[in-house]
Order: sequence, then structure tokens, then C-alpha cells
Amino acid sequence: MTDNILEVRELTKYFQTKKGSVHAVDHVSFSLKPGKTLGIVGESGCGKSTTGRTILRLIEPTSGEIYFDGQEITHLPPAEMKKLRKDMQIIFQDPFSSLDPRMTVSELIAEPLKYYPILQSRGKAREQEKERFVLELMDTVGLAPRLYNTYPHELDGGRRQRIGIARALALNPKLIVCDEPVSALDVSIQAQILNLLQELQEKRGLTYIFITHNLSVVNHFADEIAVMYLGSIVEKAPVQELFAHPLHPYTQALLGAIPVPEIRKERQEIELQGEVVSPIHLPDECRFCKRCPHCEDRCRQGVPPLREVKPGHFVACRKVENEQE
Amino acid sequence: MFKKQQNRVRIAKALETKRTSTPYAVSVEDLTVHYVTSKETVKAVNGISFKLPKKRTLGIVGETGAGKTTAMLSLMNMVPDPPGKIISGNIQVGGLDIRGLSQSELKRVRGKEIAMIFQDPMTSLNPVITVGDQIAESLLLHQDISKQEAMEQARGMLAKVGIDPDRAGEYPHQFSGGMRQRVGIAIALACKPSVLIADEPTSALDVTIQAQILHLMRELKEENDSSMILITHDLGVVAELCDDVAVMYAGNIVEYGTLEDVFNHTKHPYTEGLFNSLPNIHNRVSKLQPIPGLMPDPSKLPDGCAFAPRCPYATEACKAQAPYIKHFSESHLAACTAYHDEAFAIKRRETE
Repeated sequence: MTDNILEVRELTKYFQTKKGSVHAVDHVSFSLKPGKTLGIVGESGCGKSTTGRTILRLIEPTSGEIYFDGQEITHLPPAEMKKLRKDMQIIFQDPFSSLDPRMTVSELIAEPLKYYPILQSRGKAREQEKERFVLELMDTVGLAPRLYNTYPHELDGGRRQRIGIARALALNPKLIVCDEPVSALDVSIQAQILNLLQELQEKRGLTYIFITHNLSVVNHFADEIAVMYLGSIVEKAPVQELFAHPLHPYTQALLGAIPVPEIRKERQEIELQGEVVSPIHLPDECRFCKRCPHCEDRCRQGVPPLREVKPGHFVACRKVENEQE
Repeated sequence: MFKKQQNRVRIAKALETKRTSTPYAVSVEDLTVHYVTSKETVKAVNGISFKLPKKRTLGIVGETGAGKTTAMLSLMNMVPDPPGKIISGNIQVGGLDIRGLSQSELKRVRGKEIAMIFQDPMTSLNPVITVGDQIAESLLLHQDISKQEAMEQARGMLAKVGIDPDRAGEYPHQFSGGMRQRVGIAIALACKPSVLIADEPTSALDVTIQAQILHLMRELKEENDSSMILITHDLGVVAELCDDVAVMYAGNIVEYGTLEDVFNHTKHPYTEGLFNSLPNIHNRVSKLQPIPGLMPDPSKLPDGCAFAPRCPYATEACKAQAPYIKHFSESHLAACTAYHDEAFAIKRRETE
């Protein structure tokens, strides 16, 4: 366990609503080695963003344990947590709404410095140190120095996302949760940002949790992928293994549903019927039952556990269990 | 009621006299649309031409701000004016010259000849009208039927797009995103238009739902024998659905051809850049090759080729003169000055 930077055990978050409790994250467990990237994939409402935020305790978990650098953090008091946040940062999805429109680029990037003792000098020298610090970060993320005093609304989505990345990097974190960092961007800009994130990882040894709905992006980016459906991980495997041998019917359907920019003679259609059911009042059966083409009686007897079927390849499916036996 | 009906017949007759026969569902020549404000002129569409034969599907691909949506709104004469102005161009839909029609005639054309599916199913439906009524609305406008008959047909449309007809009395907020897009499709197809424009119909949806919606659109298009124009930024969706492809950049069509032409014999450097910057699910590469820089501000377009500042092949000639339109075959063309040199060829990243 000691060589894992992050270990999450049975992490659970239920939101209480008038209609009942929403099972946003339901007993999710995984671990992550330093310098690696875990991709969390799923459709809207599957709990992938909640998982990312709960790990940073931006949302308090209902139950479960989170070990960051060997330390259990779910019960840390706010002051301790604040110290830790220096090492764990987040990049948000929407660069249009996640930046304060009344702050300039330099103010936005320097904001984390207000809360953490990074700058050494005092008085006038402090201002200069801050400016150097901000310009250095702007250079790291590829923002031209002339943008120092501009406001976010003057910039395009790609540049705004670079500000978000600079903010996350300001405190030199170990772990960054990237919550759909490129889904609001055009393809040519998307590739620029993905390359930037990759370079930063190589240079600084960053660990990423990369949350996305786009399987092509995680294929490019992640070392390991966890596929989530209705709050649970249904399959987890190293990236090549997952793409070569997807085992869970949902993963197979997801992979089959991606439109590929190639002319294909035959389309392999495993088209999923129906839509994601409400995460309130979940019956005690496999979460995927209602849309699964292989659903049988035994699938309705309890939620299937996540089991290791090959080294490193975990899947929660009764059908796969059957075939293994 | 009777007068309304008479009017409808009179306008329909007038429309028929204006119609010329043509093998094309849509033909556009030299369309230029600008948004003129006191501060600046945004050159959204700059002289595009294309012809869509009947029963085919054309994909219009490009990034945000390429002018895709503006060009398609012009087909229905729906560019918001002011500030939008169609500066020049000949637009024919089903043999009708759209720019020569009166407002009341346009009302007959929209929905019946040409209809549109909008991008965002969350905002394109009216939140205070039931979905059944929203579908019936266009039916009542174009057909001589009673309200009851219209409701009956609306329920039929709902069934066709895979929604339980008994939900006709529900409001948009009671449906999920995918369901709302199905309602949008039902509205667009209610009057069996001969041309259907779909503006990013699946960008707001999850992949498994996207697959369902694309499948549905393909089916209904074939059933109605209609032609379709699909606006998208997703080359994957184009490959699934389209026969022809037009690639737009800064208000121009930079490459045009059949799906085979554009995907397997890519000619324009911008199209090449688009393909190279996509992470490919079947081919994991160590580094993506993004197109450097940004699309130019459409109010300050450079002289010469608008792509030249980002183009790895650009020469001085590209920056000075308007792009050269090279025809590679009857169906395939690209607007690129580099093709003056017969030996010029671009290199697309090899996929296995």
C-alpha cells in the first residue's frame, strides 16, 4: 500500500433528496501509483465527477476510506485538510464558468498564493516575486506574457482552460483530478490541451485522475481505466487490456457506440436499448440489468461484486463469472 | 377557418408557379453572409457553393465559428436580421428560390419543404407547451386537419421516434435529454420535409444515446426519402451517416467530396490537421498532432487563404492570394493554393 499515492476503499456518497437517497457513488475502490493516470469513464449521471470531488473532499463522503500518501483523510479536520489540498488539485470541465469573470489572468493564477505560504519575500519584492511566479506558470502552460492583464472573457476556450491548468499547478501538487478538461473544446484545441497535460505529467511526475465520457481520449491518455455505471465501477483494467478484451456488456456497448472517423464496411452494432435508470431506489440486482442484452435470472440476485478475472482486470458481471467457472 | 384554408391554397398555388424543376434538393451558389454591427463586420460565410442531390446526406464539418450554422440558417432565410445580412448568393431549396419568397410563402416552406433539428434539446423546446401540442403545431400549420386529427398524428410521430404516445400530454422537463431530442426529431419530421437540416443533433448526448439517435435519423430519412444536411464537428458521426462531406473553415468550404474522397484521399491541409488531432480509438499514439494556433477572428480575416497562418505548407503565395480551387475529380475539390504545384501532396498520419 505504501507505494500508492492514492487508495480509495469502498467510497460511498449518497445524496438525500425528497424522493429518496441518490446513489451517486456506491462502494467504489481503486488505487493509483504515482506518475500514473487513471481514467474514469461513464455517461452523464454515473457518478464519475462526484467520485473525483469526493476524493478531494470537496464533497464529504457518506462512508469509505481515502488514503492519500498513506494517510487516511476522510476524518481530517479542515486545517489539516487545507494543508493537504496543496498536493491535490482539480481542473474543471467548463473553462467558461469556472473562472471569476472579474479577475485578470494574473490574479486568477496568483489566487492560490493568497492561501498558501509560497512567496518568501516581503513588501515590494513580494510583488516582483509574484509576477515572476505567475509569468513562469503562464510560460509552462503556454500562455503569452501579453495576456497577463487580460480578462477571461477576452480569451477563447483553449486559453481559458490553460488558466485553469496554471491555477491547478500553482501549488505544485502531486495529484490532479481532471474533470472533463477537454470536452468543451474544439478538436484541434483539444489535442493541444491533451499534449500539454501529458508533457506536464512527464516533467513533473504528476498523477492524474482523468474523468471523461470520451473513450478515445482516455485511450490516448490513461494507464488504467475504470468504467462506471450508476455509481459503481463495473470494469477496471489496464488501458490496452480493456480496449482489446472488454468483458462487461456495458463496456462493450460503450466501445461499440463510439462513432469512429473511418469508413467502415460493416458496423458492429451493439446498440443499447433504453436509458440510464434513476439512481434513486435502486433494486438489489445488477445495475445494468434493464439495458443488458444478456440479462438472466441470476443477474437479478444481488449486485455482482467486482472480481479479478485476469491479473489487473476486474469486472462485475455474473455472465463473465459463469464463463470463468 | 375557411378563410385561413383559402389563403393556404392560394399561397401553395403561388409557390408552385415559382418552382423550377431540378435534380437537386438544395443548391447554393456563392452564398455570403455577414453580421454587420456599428463596431465591426463579422464575415461568417464567405462565398460558399454546394449542391445536394435528392436523397443524399451531406455532412458539414468544422470547428466553432466556422460558419456552419449561419450557412444552414440562410437556407431557411432565418439568419437573425439585424445584424445578419445575406450579402449575395442564390439559394434554391426544392427548386424554390428562397431569397425571392415573401414571408407568408416562407412560412409554407419552413417545416414542409425544409425543417431543422436543433443542437440543444434542453433549450429548443417550449417548456410550457406539451410535447404533443408542439408536434401538432406544425401539422396544423401545413395541413387541413382538425386539432384532433393533428393530435392523433402527433401521437403517431411520438411512437415512430420511440416514445410512448401516452406521454404526449407531458412537458419537456419530464423527459430526459435523449427523449427530448427524439421529440425534436418528431417535430422536424412531422410534415415529412424533403430536406432535413440537423444542427449538431447529438453533441449534447451520451454516446450510447447518440448511437440510438443516429440510428433513428438514418431510418426515418430513408423512410421519408428525404435529403439531409448534418452539421457536426465530429468526424465519427460523419462517417456513420453521410454520403458527401463539406469541410468548412472561417466561412469557406475548403474541401468538398464524397465520404470516400475526403476520408481516404484527404487533400486539404486543414482536413489533414483535423484528422491528425483526433485521438483514435483503434490507434494509440504517443503524441497527438494538434493544429497550431487558433481560427482567425472572422471580423479580421487575413488576405489570401484564411488557414495560411496555421498551415504547415503555407508559402508567401498562400498569404497573398485567394486560395486556388483544385478539382481532383468530378466530386472532389479543395481550395488550396499549394496545388498549383502538381507534385504537392499532404501526408496524413498513417493509420494501420
